[in-house]
Amino acid sequence: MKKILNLIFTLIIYCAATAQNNNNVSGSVSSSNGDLLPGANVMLKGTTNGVVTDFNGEFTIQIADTQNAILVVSYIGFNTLEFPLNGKTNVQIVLDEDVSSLDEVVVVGYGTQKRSEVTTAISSISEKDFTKGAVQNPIQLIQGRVAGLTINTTSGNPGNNDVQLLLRGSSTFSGNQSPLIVIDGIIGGSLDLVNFNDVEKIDVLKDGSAAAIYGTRGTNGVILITTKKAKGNQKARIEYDGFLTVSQISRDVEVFSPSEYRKLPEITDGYFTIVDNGADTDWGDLVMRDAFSQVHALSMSGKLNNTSYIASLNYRDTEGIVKKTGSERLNVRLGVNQSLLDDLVIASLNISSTQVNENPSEHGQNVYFSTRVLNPTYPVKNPDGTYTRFPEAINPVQEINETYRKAEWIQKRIDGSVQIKPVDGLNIKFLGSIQNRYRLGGSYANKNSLNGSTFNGEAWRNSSKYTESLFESTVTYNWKIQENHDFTLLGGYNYQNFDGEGFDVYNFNFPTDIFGYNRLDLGLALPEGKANMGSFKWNSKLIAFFGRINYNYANKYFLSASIRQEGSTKFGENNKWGTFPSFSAGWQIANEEFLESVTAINELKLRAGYGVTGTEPTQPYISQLRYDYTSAVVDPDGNIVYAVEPAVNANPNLKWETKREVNLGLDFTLFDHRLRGSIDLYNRNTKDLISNFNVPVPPNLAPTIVANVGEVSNKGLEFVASGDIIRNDAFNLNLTLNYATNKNTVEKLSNDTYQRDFMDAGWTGAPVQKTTHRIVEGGSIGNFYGWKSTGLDADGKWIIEAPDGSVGEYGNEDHRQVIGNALPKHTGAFIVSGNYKAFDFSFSLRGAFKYQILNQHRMLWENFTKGQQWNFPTSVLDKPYGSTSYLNDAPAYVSYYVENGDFVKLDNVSIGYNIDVEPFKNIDKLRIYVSGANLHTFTKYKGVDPEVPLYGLSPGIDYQSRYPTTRNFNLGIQLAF
Amino acid sequence: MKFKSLVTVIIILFTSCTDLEEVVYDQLTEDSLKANLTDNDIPSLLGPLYNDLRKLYTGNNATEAHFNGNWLWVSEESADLWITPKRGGGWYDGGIYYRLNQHNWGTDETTLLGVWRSFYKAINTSNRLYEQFETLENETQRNKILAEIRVSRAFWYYNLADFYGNVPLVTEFSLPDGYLPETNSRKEVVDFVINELKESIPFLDEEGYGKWNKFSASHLLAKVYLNYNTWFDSPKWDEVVALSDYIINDGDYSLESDYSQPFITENSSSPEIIMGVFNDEIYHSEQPFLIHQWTMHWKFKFHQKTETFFWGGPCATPEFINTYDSEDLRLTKSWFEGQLYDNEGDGSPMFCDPWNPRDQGKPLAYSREIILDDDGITSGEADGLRMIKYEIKKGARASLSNDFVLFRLADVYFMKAEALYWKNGGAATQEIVDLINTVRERSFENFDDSKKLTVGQLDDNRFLDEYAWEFCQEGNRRQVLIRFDQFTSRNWFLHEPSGSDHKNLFPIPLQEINANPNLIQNPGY
Repeated sequence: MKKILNLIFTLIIYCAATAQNNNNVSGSVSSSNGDLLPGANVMLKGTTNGVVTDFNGEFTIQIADTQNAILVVSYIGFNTLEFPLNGKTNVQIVLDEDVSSLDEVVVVGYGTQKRSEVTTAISSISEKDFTKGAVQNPIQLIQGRVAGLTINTTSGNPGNNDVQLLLRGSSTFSGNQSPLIVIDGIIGGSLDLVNFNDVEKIDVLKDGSAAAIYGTRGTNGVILITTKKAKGNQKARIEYDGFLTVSQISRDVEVFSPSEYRKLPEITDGYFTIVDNGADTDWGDLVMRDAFSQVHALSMSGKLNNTSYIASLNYRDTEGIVKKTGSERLNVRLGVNQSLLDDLVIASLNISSTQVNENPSEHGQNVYFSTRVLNPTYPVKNPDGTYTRFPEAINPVQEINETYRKAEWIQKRIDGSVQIKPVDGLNIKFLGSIQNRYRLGGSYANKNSLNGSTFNGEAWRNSSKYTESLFESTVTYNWKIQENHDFTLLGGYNYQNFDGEGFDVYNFNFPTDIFGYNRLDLGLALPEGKANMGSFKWNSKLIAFFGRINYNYANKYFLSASIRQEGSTKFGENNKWGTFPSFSAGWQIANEEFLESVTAINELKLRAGYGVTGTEPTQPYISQLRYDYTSAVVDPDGNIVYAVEPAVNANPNLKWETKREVNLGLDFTLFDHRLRGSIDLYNRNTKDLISNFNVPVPPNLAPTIVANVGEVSNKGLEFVASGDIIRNDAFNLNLTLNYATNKNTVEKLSNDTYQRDFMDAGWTGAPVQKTTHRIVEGGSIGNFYGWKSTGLDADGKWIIEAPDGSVGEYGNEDHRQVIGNALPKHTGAFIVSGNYKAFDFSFSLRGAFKYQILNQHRMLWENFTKGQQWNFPTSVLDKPYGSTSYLNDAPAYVSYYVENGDFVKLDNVSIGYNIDVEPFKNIDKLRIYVSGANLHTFTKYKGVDPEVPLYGLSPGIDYQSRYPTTRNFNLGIQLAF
Repeated sequence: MKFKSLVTVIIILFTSCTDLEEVVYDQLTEDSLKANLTDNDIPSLLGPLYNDLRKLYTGNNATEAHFNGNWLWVSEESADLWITPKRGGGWYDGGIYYRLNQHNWGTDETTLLGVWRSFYKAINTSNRLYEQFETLENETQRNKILAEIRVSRAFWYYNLADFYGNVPLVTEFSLPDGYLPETNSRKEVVDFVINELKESIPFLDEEGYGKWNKFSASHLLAKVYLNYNTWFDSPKWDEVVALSDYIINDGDYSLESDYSQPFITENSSSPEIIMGVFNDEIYHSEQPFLIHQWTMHWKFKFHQKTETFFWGGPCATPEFINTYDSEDLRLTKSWFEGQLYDNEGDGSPMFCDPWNPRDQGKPLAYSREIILDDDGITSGEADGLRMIKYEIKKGARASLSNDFVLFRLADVYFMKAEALYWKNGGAATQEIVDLINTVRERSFENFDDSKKLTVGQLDDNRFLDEYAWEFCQEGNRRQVLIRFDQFTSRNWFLHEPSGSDHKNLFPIPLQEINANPNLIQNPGY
């Protein structure tokens, strides 16, 4: 948009330029980060004498009195500057970016809008507000910046950033819950292909009216990532960004050391006797570590005549805090933009590729857990050299030494677009993209591994390929009627094809461990018919037509309406196409005459929107009746044949989940743009939820069917405010506060065809063997459904309170009740950032409140009845509810283990110093910084980390086998030439 | 000009590619199945009919109860011969085993749900195949196949009538949308079964191992008649005797001279088996026969050099073991007693794991007694004798290759004997004891008069013991106890008689009632 406007200005001003017989004053206009600004206005104050900078950001203006002249320099998106010449005839003018950002461009689906024109709920975060310093994932750049968007890092597993994104509550029974990612207009672009320091801005479409243009994938919101492009007429530029990270477990669950363990009989007055196997083993020390990682990012960009390019490279070597886990990745990107025929045609081509070598952590998850429960007096190995073994936990040393896993994957995307602007206001664009992901995995368990004596060496290999192709064409037309009626019309077509295929092989009984999985053929199990292999392939397609119209009257009234007609192969035969409309309107009150005199108000905009979006079924083919070859039977001749059986019930009516959302919003900018913010209220209602439904057999083939039944609503409020408390040359201080609250209600669980009173979800695991969550009409997703404990009786058994307040009985289904909810009612963040002279600093506090976590480790292990042979969390010494006895009851799913998760995290802290680069001729920027992530958590929660998985119908279970999250310390350097 | 051609291109792009047909690559759709069907596919198509029999003893993936939601487990666990006490290392699982054993089951037991679903899944298969083969052109072939299918369906309705009593009788596959079947009475269901069997048997072959043939179907019919009096107070003893005589005289079956022979790994050729379910350790790793894994200690792996580990759960109740005649060979051929040795190592005796503290340092030697901790539920690892009636061969895998024995000739002798016993007012005759002695004989080294069953010895309790010694671990115990009216009145291990006769039927699973409000819960639940 900026570029287009620049060109128009340039053309107009060139034509209008007039010569005067005065002194030639020449110079250049650039931004504070060194980009030259073509098309900037340079006016002599108090006159109509003005010029526009050329493609190189340079200008020449003729001025009679250079001594007293003041130049007024303006450029969209920058603060207008009054520059006294003081007699100079050659000047370098630097413009500061406009903090008001009213004219900031916001990326909406299939286009951009000025922030002041936006009528929907969109959070737009640009580079200057990104998390400063080291991040593990591009999404963490906006951590804490978007009210209502929870960015939940649930594990410290390297290479596999288990980041869960959840926007405005949980509104599906089985669908994908992650927002749709769109990278530079490419739907479903992979975050793995994005180099974090290539990101220019991130826009989050939150409400239905904004996201409806993305149809069946819009329900969870849309995150639009714009990467940096070579800017017009920028000089060639090289940037380097690198950091070193030390990670450690965010918090250890305290267990007994060998000496503490030996004192237990004494501490417990003989209540607990121990099994002392004589060794002193710190299991945690043997398999966990402080991990060291490094990241190097390099980017180059520039422009030659009509061609601009950007190339970047990112290398990341990450160690996991569980020994022998780690990941190494290299990401490369090359982008070229070519302008032809005086910008009539602009073509671009991008290639990005990421390759990753990782030692994934399937075992890592159980390794940490084992260190918490294994008896510290057990040796790692028996006297005969074999590993010690245990029934409910692995020997973690054996696990990390005797098994290994490796995965290699290569992801690449090739995308290109052609834009044609045949007449003013008309823009035709074709976009194509192919994204592949190839994965090759392998693992091997030595003869000495846990199952080694049975299998005599086990090897797995698997390979898969995933391809996503996209073709899209859009036409945008922008026109004006009279002065004040501004219209933009968009029409488009979208075709996406998804393919997945792969195979896997398993073999065992190898002559030697030396080859690992590299000689699958040497295993004897496959020829004996004991091992197995398999392959698969699937496909799905998504096709859509869409359109939108925007209307702007005098920058005061804004209207927008969009529609998407979308079909998916995953839908049942009777419901192949869905329609997703939206309407929204905005009123810029600040531009009304009656507020013109109120200078304190820069912007005051009311917004209202309504939109319909969908959620696709996650799997293809589920609407169809399919048969499969299942199990072997004998035919009349005694030969073995496979039986053919139907696999599932067909549902030709299967369709998308439909969400309808109303959003009301207010944007404000006050006091010379120093205080800005917005408030949003929403009500989203999702119906036709997709879930497995129990059906009677017969008439059905199988006892469950995937059907659209049920309705969930989420109502909430979001608030964000940001203030420049101090704003001057030496010292800037910005405070940002955001807050969101959400209320989830299950409105319906049945319809005319399918009825049910409740849905159970989640599982406590052995030996408790209970479901954890229940979903009922009027309840909320995430409700823990168990037994409410109120104390211990004299024998140390749980005292249970029944729902009616009477004494209840554990295990009695009638005495179960809601004992918590896993989804935070309130979330918020407080971010401080600024700079003092050459120092910059920022830190953020982030929190979630009013929610509960089921601490599985405590439920199963904070219990002496588990037996002498184990270790326990030290909290096992707490006598629950102030009772006089220790717990003396089998592990149970009681409210005692459903803890409040409320937390405040000191999340991102960074301090940087910008070294004065003037002495170095070619260096534009040199910054060094230290930063930390997830530094400290203020919480009463007793587990490793109160940020636990929130997806699905059984959220909030802190599984004992999670890969623990990490605390990171970084030291980094940023350099630009 | 340029503009015009662009618009044309766009229009073409807009109108093409709106095809949303779903292409399936690795499964069959109804269309691709029908398009490629030949006579050679008939065994594959009929496969599910026999494959469903595996569900009698394998888990049911539709429920959480992966391995215990099956007919064999429930029939034995709810009766007096075996029990699954809590072990130090596990096996309490929220009390699901004790509830079955002590008759405290709820209406939502996943075990009972698993059984219900496996039965109806099989009925659905039969109905589907019936519809599919109804149109087969060759009349002889069609009649035979349809008869097989109807017998199969009758078998599952017989089992439903036995477990749940009053259940919906659905015989069609293509049903209108939203159709919810209604409960039929047990009588209606059983009369349907009898009628179907009578009509179908004439069309069946006389041969065919592991298939519904004239003799296996007659055995099934005899079973139905044997229970008829218990269920409906209307004796059908003559019918049982006639069918038993038919199988004994006309069938090509004979009793093995060794009690173990019908249960060895390669038992498919046993002349005693009338109906067996094909098992293979390679082909059935997905729906495995796991009785060995259920019962043995994990270290049995080293004892028997197997390729699998074991779970160490169910064992024999001490009261039952004590009923055996010390010279009855069936005791050691059915139950493992004594020390396990590390035969993969130096052959030395192995020890228990210390998961229950009192097992610390204790030899891993299976003993008859089950000693419980103070909590009243936890036993030791080596407590109780373990099942080895189905041979666990050296190198056994996760799934046994031994075929599952559903019907065998010894049972025919017992059915006839029992029918005559009831016909005689619950009193023995020489003919009755002779029938039992025919089966008993092979189980004693010296079958002299002291070991022969006599008319004076045979009463209800002795009859039950004879059944137990011969047929333990075969899945018929619950039904036999009910026929002798002792299911709710007998005492064993932790089980106390409830006297609640409604427990002779299991409840209709709550989950199914929730899915189909037309279902009516059985009385007493």
